Amino acid sequence: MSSEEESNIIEAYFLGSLPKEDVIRLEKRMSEDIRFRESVLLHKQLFESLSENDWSYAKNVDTKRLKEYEQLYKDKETLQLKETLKIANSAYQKKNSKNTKSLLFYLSAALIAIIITVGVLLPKQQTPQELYVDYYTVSDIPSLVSRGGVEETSLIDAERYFEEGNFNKVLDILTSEMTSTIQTNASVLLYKGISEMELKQYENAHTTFDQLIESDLIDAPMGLWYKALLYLKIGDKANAKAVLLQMNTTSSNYKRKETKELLEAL
Amino acid sequence: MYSLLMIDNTIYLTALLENDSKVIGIMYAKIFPKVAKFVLQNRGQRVDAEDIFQKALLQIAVRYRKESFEITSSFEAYLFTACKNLWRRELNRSKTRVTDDGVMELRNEEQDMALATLEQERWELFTEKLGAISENCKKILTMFFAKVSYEVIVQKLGYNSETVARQRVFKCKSKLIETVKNDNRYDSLKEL
Repeated sequence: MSSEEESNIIEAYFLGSLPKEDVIRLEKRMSEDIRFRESVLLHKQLFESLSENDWSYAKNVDTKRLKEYEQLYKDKETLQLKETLKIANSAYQKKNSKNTKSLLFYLSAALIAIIITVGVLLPKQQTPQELYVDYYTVSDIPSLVSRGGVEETSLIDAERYFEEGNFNKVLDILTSEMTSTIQTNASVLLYKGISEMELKQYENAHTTFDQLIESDLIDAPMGLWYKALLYLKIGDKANAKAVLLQMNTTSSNYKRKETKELLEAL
Repeated sequence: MYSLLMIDNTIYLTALLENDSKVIGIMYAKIFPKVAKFVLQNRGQRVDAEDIFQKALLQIAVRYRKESFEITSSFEAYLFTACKNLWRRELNRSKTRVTDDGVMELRNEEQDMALATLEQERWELFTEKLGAISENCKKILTMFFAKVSYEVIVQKLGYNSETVARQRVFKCKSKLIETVKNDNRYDSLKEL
């Protein structure tokens, strides 16, 4: 059997496409042939490690190294650090909880003011800009930082600036350093487009969302959603509606419910 | 920029070794919110994020104490990746709790953390080697190991046929396996 044939069999085994009798044969060979067993196990670890939804657990590894680590986790210095971490965590969570409570108080007050304004002073038909405010959220956009050995420092900075609302800084990073990544990373395009939208660079935001929509990336439908929000923000009801109708015809389920609601509201 | 990054990383690593609660407090303020956001977006609770964050810091400290190493990215990114991997491990844990005999494996906390550390080292080895092969190989293998079908690989990467794509996967995979095996670290990380 050539190495390529052997590789194809191992591959089929992990992809679940190997016939039952061949599975039995493969497992029998694993118990007899050390080299083959090692090759199968390495494939298994690679499949589990390099797949985002899986994890490669260590079961039968070098005991010496394992014991060394176990001992280090038990020693005095580690236990002291563990205690320091516990205290730091409590202090941080306590402080954060206070901040959240204050923020919630101000948000509630602001919300009541908005409800009174909308309910009493404004007509019932919402303007495109109001719809934009209602539907605009960035809480569900994916992180800029993907799993990988070398995480991009600049992307982490960009995400932090984005969260802080410092959109000029976000654009500085994403436009100057990420030219090669931009073509392959939907999150980068999203963060760039939204930042441009926030800075009222509407033409640029339009181009960026189009770039995402025309890509073959899985998150391309997100581009359509934010393009529709862009039109709402600038008060272009007709184009917002056209983009939402386009979203309705795609196979993606992204924001399907919200798309329907917005179309009804428009 | 490079040296500033290194200084930054050293400050954090030293703080972990020296139990410096002030710098550890800064780590919480700077990095924990991002980890919490990730865990909450991936079927977890805030308390899970707290647990993962603490375990990742302990893991880095113990590894550094055993053998000092250099972090080539920022400490922030490195810690975030360690947290993400520990959370992946947690989410997949139900698959391994029960052994082939249907018996629950019982481990103490230190044993489990030692295993998680070796798993993280193995993940870093594989990721590093995948990052070092050609861009073309990296692309096809990333899809292959994510169990994307050959039909989709052909379509996305523009190969002429599934046979051509299969041959490419075989060549790239062989290269990856060779570089992994040639690395000394693999001997102590492989399954026996």
